[in-house]
Amino acid sequence: MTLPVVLFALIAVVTAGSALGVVFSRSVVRAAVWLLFSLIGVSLLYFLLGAEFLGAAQLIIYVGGTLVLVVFGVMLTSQGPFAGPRTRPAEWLAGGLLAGALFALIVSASLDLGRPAPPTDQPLPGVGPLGLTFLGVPEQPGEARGLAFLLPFEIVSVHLLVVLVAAAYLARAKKKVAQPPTPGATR
Amino acid sequence: MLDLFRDSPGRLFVAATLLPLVPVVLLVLSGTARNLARPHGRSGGWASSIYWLLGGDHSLKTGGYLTLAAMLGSAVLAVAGLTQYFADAHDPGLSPAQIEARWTERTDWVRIGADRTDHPATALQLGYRIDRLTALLFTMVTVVGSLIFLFSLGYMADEASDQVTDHEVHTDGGHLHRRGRFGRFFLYLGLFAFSMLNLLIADNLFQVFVGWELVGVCSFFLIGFYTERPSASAAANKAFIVNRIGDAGFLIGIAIAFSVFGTLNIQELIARTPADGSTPTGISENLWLAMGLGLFLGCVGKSAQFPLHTWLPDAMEGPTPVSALIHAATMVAAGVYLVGRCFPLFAPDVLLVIAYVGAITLFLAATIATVQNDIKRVLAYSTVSQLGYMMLALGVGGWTAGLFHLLTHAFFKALLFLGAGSVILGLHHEQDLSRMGGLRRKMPVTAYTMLVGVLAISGVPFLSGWYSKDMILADALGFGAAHPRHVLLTVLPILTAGLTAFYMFRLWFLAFAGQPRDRHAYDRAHESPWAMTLPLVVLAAFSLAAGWGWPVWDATASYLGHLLHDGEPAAVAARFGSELAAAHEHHLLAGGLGLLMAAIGLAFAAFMYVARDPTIALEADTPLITLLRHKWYFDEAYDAAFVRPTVALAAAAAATDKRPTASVTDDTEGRRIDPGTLDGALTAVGQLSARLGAWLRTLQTGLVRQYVLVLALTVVVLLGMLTALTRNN
Amino acid sequence: MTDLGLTPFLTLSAFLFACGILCFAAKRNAIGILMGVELVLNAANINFVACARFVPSLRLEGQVFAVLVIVLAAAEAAVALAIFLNFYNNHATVDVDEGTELKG
Repeated sequence: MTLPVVLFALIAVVTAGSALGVVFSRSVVRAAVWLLFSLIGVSLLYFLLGAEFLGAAQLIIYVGGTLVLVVFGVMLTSQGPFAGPRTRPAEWLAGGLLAGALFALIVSASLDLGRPAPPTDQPLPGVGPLGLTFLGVPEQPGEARGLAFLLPFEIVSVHLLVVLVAAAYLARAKKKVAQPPTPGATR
Repeated sequence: MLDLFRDSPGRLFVAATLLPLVPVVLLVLSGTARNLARPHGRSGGWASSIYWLLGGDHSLKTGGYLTLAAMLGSAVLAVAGLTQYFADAHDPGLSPAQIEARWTERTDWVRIGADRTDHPATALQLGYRIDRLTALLFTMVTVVGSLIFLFSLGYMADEASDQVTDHEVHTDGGHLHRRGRFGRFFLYLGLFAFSMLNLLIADNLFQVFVGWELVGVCSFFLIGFYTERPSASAAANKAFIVNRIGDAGFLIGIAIAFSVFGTLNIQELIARTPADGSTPTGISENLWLAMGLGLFLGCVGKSAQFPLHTWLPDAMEGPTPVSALIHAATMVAAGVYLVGRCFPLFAPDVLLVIAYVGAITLFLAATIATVQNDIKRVLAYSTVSQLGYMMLALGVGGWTAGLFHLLTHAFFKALLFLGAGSVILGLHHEQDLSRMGGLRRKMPVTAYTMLVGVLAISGVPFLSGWYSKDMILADALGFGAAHPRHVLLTVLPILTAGLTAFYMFRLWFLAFAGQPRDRHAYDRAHESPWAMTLPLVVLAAFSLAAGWGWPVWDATASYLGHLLHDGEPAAVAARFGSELAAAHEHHLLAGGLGLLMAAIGLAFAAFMYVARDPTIALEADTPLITLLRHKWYFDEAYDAAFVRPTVALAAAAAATDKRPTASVTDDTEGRRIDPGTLDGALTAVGQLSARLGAWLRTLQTGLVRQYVLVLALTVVVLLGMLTALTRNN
Repeated sequence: MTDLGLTPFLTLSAFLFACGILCFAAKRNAIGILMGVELVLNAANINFVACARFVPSLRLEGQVFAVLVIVLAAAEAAVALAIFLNFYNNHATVDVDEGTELKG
């Protein structure tokens, strides 16, 4: 029962539980909060794995950005009681079965991988090696040069800009909100 | 050009065969041109001038003249060929093989298969072979044909106008008026002449069959010439269909011959058969019998023997020259001719069948003829009966007798038919004997030439019919003496000789003797023009003299008979030697019996129709007479046994194609798919596809979540497969 | 860290993945579906980072990848939201079951 194991167990429980909360909560606002906790749990996992930069990035971007976006969406499209439409139990069953099957499949595949020997006495990787990996600089001098990820990184950032501009354009208000459609009405 | 004929004088006959085709082609071309130009007839221009050149609104008679000229040309060539043939036959410097080479030629038309090492490829051939029988028959056909064509020019003269009234077709408001069809008649006649002559000179069964079918087709056209009359169309159909039944047998015979012997050449087939008529090597006995019966069945159909005799009387719906040419002198003779040609190919049992069929036919037809009132029907049944005589003769070994009778019969039967045509035209299309009478005063030429014909057919001495009929009766008697079991084959022909005399004299007495029974028709009667009476006179001369020899009073001394006798196949003497000897011995007895029966028949006819009032006999109505008048109910029997079931079967077959719902306005939902019917089955296939498509459509719900589920399912499946496949690595 | 192997992380990631799938298959609210998508992406990210840490042959490319995924996920969330707002404008509801115009 070393500390990492305990920590992992704790964080895993939080994350998994929050995920279940997202799925099963009736109110979409509550689901958003559960999602928040889940994302925080993931970020803690990153810290545990020694990916500090990633953990920080996760907190800033996901929790602070994406989740806020989601909450904004909820706010803009709310229509009355937060309960919203119900899913039928049959659909839960179907989805549950499929999700269960997928889970089992992936777990069995993972178990087949075997346990790779964890590196002994190796310090957790920090930000430095991450930066070097970005630039493609080899760790031991004399090794071949690795792939440099700086270009994809820049592309992705421009892509983000473009996407946000497009999203802003798409989401502009064009006409006034139409009446709720009556059941059976054809368009 | 004469070089063509010098080394192969047989080509004279080929030229004679092809000559009638020339007016046929010309008539077809001109008829087509005229029809195409007809719409422009009144509008001027060169189309219009072509139209009026070719006759305009009515046919020109030129087509008829051309056809007659072609037929006369054929007759001239035939006579030239005939004389050359007999010159060759009596030439001591020519061996039989050389004669054969001069008068036979053939060529391969269609090769089947490839040449093998031991024999060349089998082939369908075209060729001709002239021997005595062919030469004589060819000449007869062309001469009689020319006379009948001449007669037709007069008889069909009213078809050469643009307005013909058909008195037997009633439309609303009177009789039918139509355009005349003069050219078409002579077109068919020319085509018929070509087909018949081709049949005569053919040396292989395939070519014979081609000619056979062609004459059947021409007969169909000519019987149904008055197309607007339902009776004529029905008669044409009947003739063709009944003939077809016979042709099926013919084809079986041909098929057996070709498959077993590999050749259809008649001479080659004869060479393979032993002279005494036993089964040749290489063929089973049953198959040999089947081949003979098959060939004979074709002759039964073509020559209207029992049981396929029902078409000939109905064929009288055609114009009278057609009846004279086709159904008296030529086409029906084709069957007898084939039996004569293929005589060695018939097994003894088959010949016995031929004899019996002939015997039954001759008696049956004669009985029916005694009560018929239509002048042409009497002659039609007479033809059937005389053909029966010929078949009987051939069956009992009287090869010469049968074919001699064929030749003489052609002359006097054509004479009788043309005479009947003259009477019909003279009385303005009156054919009923019960309304005639006393016409000898108004139409003397017709009356007395027909008397010659009647005397000839009854077997009165010194006329041509006597010589041939005498020979037949003698051969029948000889056969009966040698085989007492088959006494019927002797009794029936002798008995029927009496019936023949009876009904023929009845015809003459009713038409020409006594007092007129229909005053109105009698007053309008007139003699026919010279174009029609000339052939009558010529044919009467032939009927009188064709059988003469020296001495005239000796029945066996006929010149024509001797010519034919020389051409007899060896098989006849080999098989029927003793019967023919017995026939010769009992010749006088047979002749006497025949004469006696004829005298009895004449006496009866004279008593019933001259001595007392004919109307007593005409109006008599006993059960026997009713049976005979209904032709022994053959037509009714065939109708019930064959026609009705076939029609019912056809109706049943058609019913499978009918839809269960008849309404066109039914929508798709309401219409049942009935897989029982073929139509329904095919529709069901189409509808199945549509339903499948409709069901597949329901999968596209437009719901995103459902698509996601399907996606997830697919991923699970694929991933599962991948894992399972890579599990044990 | 020696006794904490790769497998627990992968298991957790699988669980998160399944939850995400269930979420965006079963939720009728459009925003709920978006949340499911976020869960799935996070699960994938955990996978990447854990592999980067525990599989020596892969250097730190896993983390690099995870960074890229985070950025793209954010972009995708923005676009998704724009689409959902449009949907809301056209149908006056966020119930995705109402969007059946593609029904065949």
